Amino acid sequence: MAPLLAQITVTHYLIVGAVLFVTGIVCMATKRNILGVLMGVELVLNGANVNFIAFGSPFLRENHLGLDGQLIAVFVIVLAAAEAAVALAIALNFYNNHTTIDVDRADDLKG
Amino acid sequence: MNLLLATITDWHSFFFYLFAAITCAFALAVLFSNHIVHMAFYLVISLGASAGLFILAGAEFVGAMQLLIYVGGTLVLLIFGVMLTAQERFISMKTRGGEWVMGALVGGAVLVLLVRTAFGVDDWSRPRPHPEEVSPIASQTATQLGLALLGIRPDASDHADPRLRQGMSGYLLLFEIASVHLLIVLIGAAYLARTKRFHPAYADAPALRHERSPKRRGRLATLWTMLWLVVDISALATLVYVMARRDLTEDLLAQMGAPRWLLTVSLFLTALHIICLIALLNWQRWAFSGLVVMAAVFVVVNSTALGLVPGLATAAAQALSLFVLYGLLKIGGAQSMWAQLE
Repeated sequence: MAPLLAQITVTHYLIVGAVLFVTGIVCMATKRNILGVLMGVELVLNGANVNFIAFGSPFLRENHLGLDGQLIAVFVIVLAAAEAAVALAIALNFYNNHTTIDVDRADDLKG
Repeated sequence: MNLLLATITDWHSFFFYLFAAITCAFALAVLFSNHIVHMAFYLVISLGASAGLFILAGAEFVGAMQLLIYVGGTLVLLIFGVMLTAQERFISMKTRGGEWVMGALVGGAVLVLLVRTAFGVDDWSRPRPHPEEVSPIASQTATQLGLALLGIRPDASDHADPRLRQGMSGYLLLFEIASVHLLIVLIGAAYLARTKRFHPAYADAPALRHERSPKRRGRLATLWTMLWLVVDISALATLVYVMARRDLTEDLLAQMGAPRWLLTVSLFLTALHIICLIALLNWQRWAFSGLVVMAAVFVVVNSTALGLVPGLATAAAQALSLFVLYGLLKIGGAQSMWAQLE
């Protein structure tokens, strides 16, 4: 435990990212509400972003990714916004057609 | 209170642990909450705290973008979704126990893998020698990010290798692709979500289609399966622990006189066994045949790896457990669990 309490390193950020990622995956697997599944996706993307930022930070590591890490994180945020918009539209469409938002009920392709 | 604050010398670490704890705790709260409105609120806090982590790592612009786009845009969109579909029966939907077990298995495996990887490279857990010597200009990245999106990389222009310098000419193409992508997404989302007449064919169909006759579980058979599941999961945990520690692995294998592949094969077989048991609890008939086949494979593996006597002992134990399970499933005649399997 002692080395973890010393100066913050990339590993600290990686562990936070791992916790966010795993929480997101389990959230996607267990939630029955379609919007809960979407929240799991957001958590996973955020966990990946934490890793990118950590590897791009000049304060944590001498041999850092530099600007590339931050740029990829910006693109992930932008694409996550786009993904959320489309997924929400699909969810609303599903709700209009089937009057439910339980993903377990979404088992046929005909709309 | 002032004394306590004065003893904290390393404010960077202090704020890192604060934000990391808030991020992780509220992410877990999202997972364990059943109420969809509460989940959205916890997600706002978790993402906001991770913006704090970004700023602590020197990425101010990304932290600000996180707050603006994620918390301010994406989550507001999600909350709109929650409000548009908010009917009493959808507000809190319970997850079944079997899905929690499955999710915990997958999540635990991924977590072990990721944490081991995080500690795997020495360079990652070694702190930078003098972080205070990094010029504060290096962390003011908004200008550099803007230039990079326009195709100019001031930070990479002095790269030693001229061939690599060409490849670092910026993110202009990616920026254009993202712009067109956003435009198309905007049009597509508006097209998908446009108001439509309610589809009469599905008006009362969901209730009809999914009405199955309720199934009754035999108490004893369920108990026996759960017991087996507990034994399997503890065996799996022990195997993972043993395999994670190299010294322990060598000792154990030397004591038992077993070849190395035994651990890997047992891990794989135990995982398959757990899947079969969960499938049996979810009324799948193939799961029982799977259990029989697994028992045979266990016997073969143990008798080749450990010798005849342990092999025979495994055979006896597996045959007895399967026989008891079969008997318990058959209890109740036409109403038995065996007759209800699909």
